[in-house]
Amino acid sequence: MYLIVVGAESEGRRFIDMAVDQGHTVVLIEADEERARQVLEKNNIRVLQGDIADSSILQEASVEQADAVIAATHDDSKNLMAMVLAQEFEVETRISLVNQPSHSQMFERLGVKSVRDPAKIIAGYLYDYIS
Amino acid sequence: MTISRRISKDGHLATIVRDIGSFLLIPAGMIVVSLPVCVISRDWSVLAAFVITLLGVLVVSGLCRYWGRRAQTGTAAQTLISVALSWGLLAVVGGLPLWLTAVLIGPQASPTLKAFSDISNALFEGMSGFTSAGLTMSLRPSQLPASLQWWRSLMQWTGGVGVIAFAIALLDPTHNHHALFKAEGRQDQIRLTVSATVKRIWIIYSGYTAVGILLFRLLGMSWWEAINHSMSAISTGGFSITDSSMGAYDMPVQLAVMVMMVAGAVAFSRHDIIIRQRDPLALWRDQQHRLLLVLLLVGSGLVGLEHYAAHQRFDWLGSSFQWVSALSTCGFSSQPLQFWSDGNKLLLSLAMVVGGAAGSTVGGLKLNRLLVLIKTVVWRLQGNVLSPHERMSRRLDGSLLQPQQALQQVESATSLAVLWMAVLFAGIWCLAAVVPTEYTLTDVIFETASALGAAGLSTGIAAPSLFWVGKYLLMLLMWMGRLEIVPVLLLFNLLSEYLLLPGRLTGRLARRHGRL
Repeated sequence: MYLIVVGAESEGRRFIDMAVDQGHTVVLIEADEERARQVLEKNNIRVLQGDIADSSILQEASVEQADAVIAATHDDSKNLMAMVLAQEFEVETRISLVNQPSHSQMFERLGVKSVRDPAKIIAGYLYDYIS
Repeated sequence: MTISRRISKDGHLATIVRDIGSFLLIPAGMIVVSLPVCVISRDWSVLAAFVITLLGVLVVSGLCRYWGRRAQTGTAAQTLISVALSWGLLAVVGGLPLWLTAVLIGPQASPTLKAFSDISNALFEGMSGFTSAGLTMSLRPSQLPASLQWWRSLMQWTGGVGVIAFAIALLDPTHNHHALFKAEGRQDQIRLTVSATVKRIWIIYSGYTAVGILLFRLLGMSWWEAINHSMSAISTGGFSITDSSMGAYDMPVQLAVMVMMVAGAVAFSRHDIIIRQRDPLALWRDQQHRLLLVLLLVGSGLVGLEHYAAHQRFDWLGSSFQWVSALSTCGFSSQPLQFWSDGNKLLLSLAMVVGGAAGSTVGGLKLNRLLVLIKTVVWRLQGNVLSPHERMSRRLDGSLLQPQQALQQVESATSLAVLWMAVLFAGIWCLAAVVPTEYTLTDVIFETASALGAAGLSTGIAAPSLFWVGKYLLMLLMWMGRLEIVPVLLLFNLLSEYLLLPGRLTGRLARRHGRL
């Protein structure tokens, strides 16, 4: 599959490792130079260094061919923007990380598959171990 | 103030002199090892020649070490200069036994040996031996006394892996190991320390030589031929003890020789990995060696096709043998090259200039540089088609290079390539002026490339009949090529400063001291 990943914080980076391992084609959009470099060091993929808000950066990533857009930044406004743009380009699968639980409704209204409040998920796993 | 007093006052020169004195112990040791060979083969004149040379070397070495007894550890520039000078002296030490034998035997000597009574021929053989080039002044090596055949092979065997590398393994630890190691054109360490690396290299090297001897013996060479040819194949030297090089043998032996030449063109660090992991495919996982294998195959094909175009018949074995010999800068030939087509001579010249993998025994520009040069072009093209936000990723052997690192790699590879081209051109231009008219420009290009790449394939220009200027020119090219030019340039720079501005040398050296 052709995947566009927005954001290479720890979640995004793990996702890229897995996706590349499974043989998918991945393009990363990441504004931070250091994080972009870390990904490049590990995976031989196309990296666009820029913000999702930069004009036409998704076109640069050939969004019209994309099977999925995955927003994984720690900033919900960026994730939201990525999802809105992905919907405009009619990308079939749109997935996002939602950092603030209160934002989840906005994402739901867009018809996005979302992972809500990752910290809570981890807390849940931790709690499972004591019960 | 006389020049000698000025030199002795200069502590920097004392370091250089002391280093040279130490390096001279290596050829002295080589002579000692060769003495039993003289006794076994009853070559008493050669024995006398060896003993005279040995005494001379020991005296010079002793004087040098006495002179530099209070010297300090040298800087990188001084090390490069002493290495360059030592290699020049090695040619003398290598040639002396040949010359002395020829002089001692006198008129009864065979024509091949008699050629060495001309000192320039003997020096040529010494330089070609120690640089593991393989151009030779012996018209019929089979006529040489056995102990001189052995001496030629031993020079190549020691010179191929690096005399200085030998010195590091044996000599006292006051020397700047790392600088010495690099001065002979090696970069990669395969063990934690330089001396451990060198020891490991010698173990691998001796092991492969032993394997080669057994292999050649099994396939039909005599023991004596097998020993000599294994030594000059693994060192990618190319001296042989037959009159027609490898043309004297049939297909199985030639194939085995090709395998040994390729082994000589593979970096010791790779050999180390292959041996430790017991996995020959490790060769393919490294970009430099992948390039080597691809070039071996593609080049053999091209030479074969060109041979067909010129002679209307395929000769795959002959074509690939010369190509492997050229690319590994070994210099064995299985047929006379004089009447090969111009196209094939140029192809082989290119191979001899490029050479095999860095960190092996080959000469030439070496494949890691070629790889960076190819990458430079690719990066340049990629840079043009990059979309506005796309990050440029410059990879070498799978790992990402920072822009600064990439620049360094590109800079060192291109500057060496430029030097190489300049010296090659100058060499061709000068040699063309002195060769007999029956040789074409292609032959001159071929011979120059062969000398500079320390390869040793020849169209026949390098022979005792060559005008003496041509011989010294080829010696200069072999010397520069073996040391990858830079140390020789530093030496010339130092000499010119001495001649032009004698008084300021100390200050200059001190300043360079700071800069390098």
